Amino acid sequence: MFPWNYGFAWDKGHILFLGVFYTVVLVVLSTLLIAAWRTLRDFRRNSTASIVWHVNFAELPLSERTCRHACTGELPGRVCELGFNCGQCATHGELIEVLASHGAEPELMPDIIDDSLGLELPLDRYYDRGHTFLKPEFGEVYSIGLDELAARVATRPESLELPLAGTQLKARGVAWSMRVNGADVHVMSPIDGEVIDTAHGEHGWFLRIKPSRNASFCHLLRGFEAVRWMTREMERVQLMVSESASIPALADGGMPVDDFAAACPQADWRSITGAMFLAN
Amino acid sequence: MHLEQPRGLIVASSTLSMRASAAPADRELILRGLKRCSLSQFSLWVAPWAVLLVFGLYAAFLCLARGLNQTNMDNRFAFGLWIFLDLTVIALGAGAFFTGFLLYILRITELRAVIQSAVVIGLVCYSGAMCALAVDVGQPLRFWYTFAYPNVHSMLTEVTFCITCYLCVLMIEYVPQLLKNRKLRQTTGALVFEFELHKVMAVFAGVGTFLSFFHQGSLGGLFGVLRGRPFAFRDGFAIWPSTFFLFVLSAAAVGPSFIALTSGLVEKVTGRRLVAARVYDKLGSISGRLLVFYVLLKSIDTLVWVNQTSPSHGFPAHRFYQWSPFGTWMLLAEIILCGLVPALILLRPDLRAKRVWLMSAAALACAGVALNRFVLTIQTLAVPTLAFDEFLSYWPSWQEFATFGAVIAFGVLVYSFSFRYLSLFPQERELEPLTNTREPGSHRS
Repeated sequence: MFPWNYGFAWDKGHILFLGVFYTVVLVVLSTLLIAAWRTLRDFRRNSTASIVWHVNFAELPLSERTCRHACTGELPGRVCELGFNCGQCATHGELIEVLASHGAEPELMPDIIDDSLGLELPLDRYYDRGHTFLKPEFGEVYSIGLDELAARVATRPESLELPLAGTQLKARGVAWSMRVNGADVHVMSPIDGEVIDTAHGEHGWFLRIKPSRNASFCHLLRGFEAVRWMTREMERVQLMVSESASIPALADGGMPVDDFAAACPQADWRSITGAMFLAN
Repeated sequence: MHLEQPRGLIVASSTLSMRASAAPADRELILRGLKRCSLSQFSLWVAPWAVLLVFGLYAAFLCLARGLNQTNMDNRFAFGLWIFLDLTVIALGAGAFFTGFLLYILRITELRAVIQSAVVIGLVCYSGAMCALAVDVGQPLRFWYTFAYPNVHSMLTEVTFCITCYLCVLMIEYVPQLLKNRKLRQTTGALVFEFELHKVMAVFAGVGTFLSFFHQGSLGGLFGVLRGRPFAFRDGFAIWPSTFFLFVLSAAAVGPSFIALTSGLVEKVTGRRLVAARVYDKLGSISGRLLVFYVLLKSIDTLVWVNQTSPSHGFPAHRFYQWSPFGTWMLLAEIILCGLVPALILLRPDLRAKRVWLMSAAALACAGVALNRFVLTIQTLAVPTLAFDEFLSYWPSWQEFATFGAVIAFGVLVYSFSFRYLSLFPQERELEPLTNTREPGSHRS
């Protein structure tokens, strides 16, 4: 049975002692192999994007996991535990039903641009918590770009890595990568879909995609909730600047500058950029 | 539309490139939101420990190259400073298995805040102990003999098997932390493997608990079965002497205290809050309860030994305490000062809520377990057992001290690098974040 053990005998001591020892070794090795096999399976199933998001989300500070309904004031202080996957959230479903019954369900508002924050926030598009927008263009084509706040934080990307046309994007997976303010940022795709065109942001968008047939828009912000979320995000950025640069940077009037980093270089923009794009 | 009036964000004249040059060189490796000192400050902290490590490695090399004559151990004093160190760090490192057991098996979720630090401490303690043992056995290249030619009736064999396996388990438990480093996590495969490994971590926690239970116990048991050393010999249950159970219990009791103590020390050194007060309270509470139970059993065990076991072997127990400096004060210090006193402090919520009391009690508890291991290794061998024996004294050689120092330095270095480049304390960003944790709206007046 254990030919490699010198002096092995079929007695209680040997069988019990060595049996337990080798069982432990087998359990450890097989568990390790199971983890490795599951990793390969995740790659085969193309489910790595959601896993990476899951791991990153779990490590985000509570302040970055605020529920969309906390931003709107409906559920103050609520923190999301579901990776901003509102489709799985029973509370979200119930709230939307209530709002719909009063005709107050948030929805896209074509031709309306909110500028109450000094930022132009067109309400004709969806907004993602990772500071991208998803704008209906023509037919089934949508464009993806950085929202106005993110554009002012990431004004001058030092490098940009766009996917090729035909690439399949996963919601919460990497849409494109860029280096900005000294941080490597993976901008998250707001939705599942296929890339059909790319640009360098000169037209306000970086990607044009055709959403997958079963793509969910449920988790995307729209209408008044996008405005309230953006208000919160604007304040969050200002507070981060204040705290990291040890200077007051709260708005008390006027309009935000175009390039936040250039306006306040003392701040830790590398961290602030990471916080904006929900990266660790 | 946009008026360039920077009243919201104050303008300064620096440029992006200037900011980039001011950032620490290793900033890319540090997770977002974690405040760490500059690389030069970190180097200053690391340098003396690195020197101590190199010096200790030289001493260890001397022991390996020239033999154990470099030490002051001999046939009588075969267990010296290194074995004392091994027993102590393995007891203190029990925080890793016990915290894992409490978190993954008993689901005490507050301990998630310290589990990563506990794993690093466990890894440091066990790998340090293994390194010291490799020097101590004199023939480290023959380490595999114990697996190929096991004496299944020896508790030392069980200890060797269990410690080796448990060190592997600790390394596996450490891997997910490494993979979450800022650079490594950019590799998708690393993060996915970490995720899958984390899902089966309860299995490793269970295996770790099983292994730890037996090797902590067997470390105590191997003294308890020494019939030729009546100072250490104990009666027990089945094949296990009472010291088997006392070692398990003392390690489990002190483990959480050591986690609290190290977390508190790291907070002191770094000047940052890392763990929420309720977590300290939980660690103190668990440690206190187990410590009371341990002190109770240890007291009963001592009384049985004094009144029955030792006299039945022809040795009135008081004779063992006639050899200076090992008087009865040591027994009292171990059980009362470093056992009962910290236990009572840790049992009182109002006292353990105060950091100074909690840390003092934790330090006393750790000192108690160290004293217990010292008594069993050094005092056991020092006191005479035969009529013609003499009381022996032993003072380690500089090579032994240097190797001891190297193990400590190794531990500090591994922990320091882990703290800097990994996220050992998940609450760190919440407790003292770079970003704001307040609701932004609350900032407005």
